[in-house]
Amino acid sequence: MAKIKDFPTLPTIYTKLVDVMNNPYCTIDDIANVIATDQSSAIKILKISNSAIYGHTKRIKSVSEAVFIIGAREIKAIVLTLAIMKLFEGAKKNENFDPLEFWEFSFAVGSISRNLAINLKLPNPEDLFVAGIIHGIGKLFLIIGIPDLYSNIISASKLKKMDLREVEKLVIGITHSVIAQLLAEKWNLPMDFGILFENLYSGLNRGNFHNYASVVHIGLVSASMLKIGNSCTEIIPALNKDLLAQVDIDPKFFSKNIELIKKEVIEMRMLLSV
Amino acid sequence: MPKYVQADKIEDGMILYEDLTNRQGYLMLSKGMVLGIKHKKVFQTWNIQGVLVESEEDDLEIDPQFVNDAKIYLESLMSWQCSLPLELDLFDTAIKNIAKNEQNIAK
Repeated sequence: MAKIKDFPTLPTIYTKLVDVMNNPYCTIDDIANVIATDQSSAIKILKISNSAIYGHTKRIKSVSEAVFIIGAREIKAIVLTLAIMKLFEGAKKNENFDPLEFWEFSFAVGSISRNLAINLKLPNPEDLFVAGIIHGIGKLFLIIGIPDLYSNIISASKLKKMDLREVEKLVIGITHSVIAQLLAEKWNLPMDFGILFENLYSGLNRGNFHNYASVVHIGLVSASMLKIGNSCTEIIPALNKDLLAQVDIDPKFFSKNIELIKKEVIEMRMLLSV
Repeated sequence: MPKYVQADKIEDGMILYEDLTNRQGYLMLSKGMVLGIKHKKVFQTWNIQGVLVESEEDDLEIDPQFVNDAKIYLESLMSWQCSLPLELDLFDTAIKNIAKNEQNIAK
């Protein structure tokens, strides 16, 4: 808990952006000016804005144009992803964790979530893409905070074929899901993220469908089963059948979209230089 | 079975697997359209990186031994049974994906 308290806040580009966007009179230029203070983020935002994931036919040449065409809310979501990736870039490879494979898995969860959102005709599918990418912050926190111990936890989960959260609870008394909730609180992330982290493994929020929790739950389980990247655990969590009964997803969704999902994962790896 | 092809790798005779729509949902090209070299330029103009096309690559290309191994491997990692159509589609797709990867590594 103390480590969470001491953990860095999100990079200033994100917090400044939130401040600026909280002003009802903020303009596109105000947003673009904040982003321009971080050239590395600005370049990545342009690359992502021009990617097939956002699917615009016109080439976006400036951050102002990206804000105008893609939307301020979506740009804020991309900045949040970049900020979180930057915060966790210190996560080192060891025998039980490979950052490349971890991000590959996270991109797969994001891609599946986004395409599910499109299939379900949910508003703002790109938000689900971001939610999917950052779903694993609890694990990343543990990898950075207690690298050796967490490596042993991952190893024990694999050897005993136990759910990673069960081993975490036994050894350190807290799960990565709870840590993710605490980080979301510390960083003042929108409430949807708190609900997502709390219900990621059940997929339902108090028995009901929730855009973030439900869609990313299916994304998480399916990316685990499709074995795209590595989530620190081999065990495949169960899909919530009650949730599946509540949603109307094309029953051939995975066979139809597998190639697209793999393509988007490769694209994200290239765009974000992971 | 769809296959993703980068826009600059489009060849004459490839068949578009799904409707191509823009962000606003307007139809740009219809599913089933026969693509040609000229579409490379069109996709470049529309800033489309790649599309899904029909592929004759079928499951027979995967050695049944790899398929069987992938099935056993996946089942060993699951404490639940797939029964709903979406779950079964996911399970089958995952088996083929793992089997293909393993076969490629073995090659």
